[in-house]
Amino acid sequence: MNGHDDRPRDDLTEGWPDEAGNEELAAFADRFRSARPVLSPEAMRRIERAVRDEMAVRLRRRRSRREFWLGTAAAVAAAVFLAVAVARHVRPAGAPRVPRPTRDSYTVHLPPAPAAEPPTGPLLSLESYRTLYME
Amino acid sequence: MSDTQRKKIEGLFARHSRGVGSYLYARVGDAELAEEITARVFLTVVRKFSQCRRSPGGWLWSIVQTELARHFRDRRRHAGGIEELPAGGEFPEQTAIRREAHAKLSAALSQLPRDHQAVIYMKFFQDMPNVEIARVTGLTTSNVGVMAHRSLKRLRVLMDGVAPPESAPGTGRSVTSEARS
Repeated sequence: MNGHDDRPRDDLTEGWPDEAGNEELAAFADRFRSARPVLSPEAMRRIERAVRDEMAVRLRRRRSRREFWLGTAAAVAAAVFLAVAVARHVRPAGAPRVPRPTRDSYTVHLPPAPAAEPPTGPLLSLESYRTLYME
Repeated sequence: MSDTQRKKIEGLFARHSRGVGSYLYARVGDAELAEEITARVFLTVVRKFSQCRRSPGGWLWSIVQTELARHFRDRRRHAGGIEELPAGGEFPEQTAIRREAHAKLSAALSQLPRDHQAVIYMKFFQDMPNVEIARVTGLTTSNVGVMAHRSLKRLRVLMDGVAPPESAPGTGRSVTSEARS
């Protein structure tokens, strides 16, 4: 799994200033790189498992949060739909509407009242009915 | 965490986990501790990946440094660490030699300045070319080469006790003095 050891030696001396003793220093660099302590494959697998477990927990958390909000939105939409359907059921389509009260007003033109004629004489002849009230 | 983030983290792990584990092992000198700290590094990557604004390699290096600093701080608080067990099938002498080599490497690396540690980590533990190291660290490519050269000279003195030769550059003449501790 460690393919690093196949790297050519030139990479280790990349960019070095030209100095005496570079040959020995390059040999030391080679030894230094070869002598790097390395964690065992089992240790690396344990670390990878821990990392994957943590990622799985976070992914699940994110998905359940997304599902929660999607579910909430769906529930709200369903409630609105249900309310509209119930309202239509209570007042079915085509039922006669109660007309709004209307106010009609007419202008009536009345002819003028005839003028009253003045009396020409007494309304009642008292002499003719004297016997009714005389003792 | 989105699927895109998951794939990026998997890529980062595939590319860098071995080098991180190796570097941490070199710094702490104990395989179990190195495994524990490496796991913490990558769990931090998973938990805080949305905060990665710059180069993922550079951000990963900063997490490695933080976890190392935390380890050394905690170790000072609880002195008397775990004794490293011999590797399977290893003779006691081999274990002692290995431990001594790790201790020397760990001590040598810890004495390097932080920017030199970064270059050594990226060059020798992550096998990154100079141009990539330059992009991550903000140095120029030529500076990376010079810094790697200087860091190795320092490490050689610390680990092998070999002082660098005193000579003019490129003259081929050198006066080598070896001071062994």
